[in-house]
Amino acid sequence: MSEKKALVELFYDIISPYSWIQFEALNRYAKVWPIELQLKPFYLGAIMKSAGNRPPMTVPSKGVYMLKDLEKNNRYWGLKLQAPSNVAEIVMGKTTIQAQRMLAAVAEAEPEKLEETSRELWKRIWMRGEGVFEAKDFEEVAKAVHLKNPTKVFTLMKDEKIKKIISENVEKAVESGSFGAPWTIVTLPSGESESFFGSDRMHLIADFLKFPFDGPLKEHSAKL
Amino acid sequence: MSARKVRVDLFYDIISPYAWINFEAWLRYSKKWPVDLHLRPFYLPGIFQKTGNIPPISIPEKNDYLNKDLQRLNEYWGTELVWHKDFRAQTLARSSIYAQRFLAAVQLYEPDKLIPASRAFWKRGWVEKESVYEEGDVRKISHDLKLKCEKRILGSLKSDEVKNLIIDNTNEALATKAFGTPWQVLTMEDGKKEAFFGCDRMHLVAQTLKQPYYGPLKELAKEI
Repeated sequence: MSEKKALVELFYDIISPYSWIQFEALNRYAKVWPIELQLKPFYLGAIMKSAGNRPPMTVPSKGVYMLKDLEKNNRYWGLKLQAPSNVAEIVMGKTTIQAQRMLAAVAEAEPEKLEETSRELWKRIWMRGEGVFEAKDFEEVAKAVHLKNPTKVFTLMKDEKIKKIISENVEKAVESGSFGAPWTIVTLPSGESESFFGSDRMHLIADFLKFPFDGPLKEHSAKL
Repeated sequence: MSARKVRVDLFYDIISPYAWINFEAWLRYSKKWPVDLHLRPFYLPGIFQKTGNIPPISIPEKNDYLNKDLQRLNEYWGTELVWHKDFRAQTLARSSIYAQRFLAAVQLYEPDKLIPASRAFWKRGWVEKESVYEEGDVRKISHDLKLKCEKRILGSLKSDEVKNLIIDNTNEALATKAFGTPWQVLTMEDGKKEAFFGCDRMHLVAQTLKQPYYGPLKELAKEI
């Protein structure tokens, strides 16, 4: 008899470094906890607008803090996040809607590649300081993760169906109270559900699931 | 041979529920880690004004999230904070200046009472849901504390000495790029300062101190 697993839905946008941390954390814990992890690319711009919120970097001290906080998180989780040199310009001036649509398209056409594609986009912007905004960027991503049919994914990115998926993910996050990313919704087999903001609530997620929290689980790291 | 203790300055304002949780966490951890804990009441609106930051509860979704987050944090840390729906309206319109000056006066004239005094304000605001903003509230809390120097402390609330202590504490936090509370500053052996924001970074503090993270240490709650 198989027991019904708890569902963990991660709503994320590749503009958010903390979303990458939470993504890696949940992927590791999905190997040791009996949970079903569903990746839900959404659009942070729409969440911010809906909540009347602003990126943390609009407060300069938060920007300064974030760079040091990411270093500490790197050590803790065994990651290598590095802010691009023009981080403020990017975070406040550019839109990731195309990258997010690519993720939604991959989720539709080649779902087994969603994890890798998400990671590759994050690696580009938050590790190697490379672009995630132009068509050639997405071509490079498709090549790096070996998409079976890149043309299909690129065509799908412009499709109403994909725009709708992003909107639905935004809506679901907003309905559960989201004001930012990463946004994790945990639904127990009983149907009880809780939402968690950020990448520093794993111990509380563990508490809610009644599973042990064993720190960074570096032995389950994905290759960067 | 005893390990050299690391100085930890905890900058807090009793208007913040997360500051209370972190205050309790640090009191417990100061019994396990080789740290020299200094409690530094400061003035949160001063921080907001200088950094351009705003209270999280200005954003309705963050206010709703706070309610649930506090419940989960209560379970994890064994604390007893009670969110109430009037809190948002109250705190956005009112000021904790008298409370914070009272704590500064206690720090000056009866420092061994700073812990119970701080806790008394938090209990009143965050468990009993009573006002902590008026001079009358401060006098009532002071009376219940049975301070030896009560008259002197209450008489000094508008003195330059007390005002300057709050200003100095606030400026010191700003010098380390604080944008909110709880704000924890560790002074390392080489003199370098490491700052941590919020009540959810204790595992990263453990990493910086090269000490184990013991979780909520609920068993130590009674001793402090």
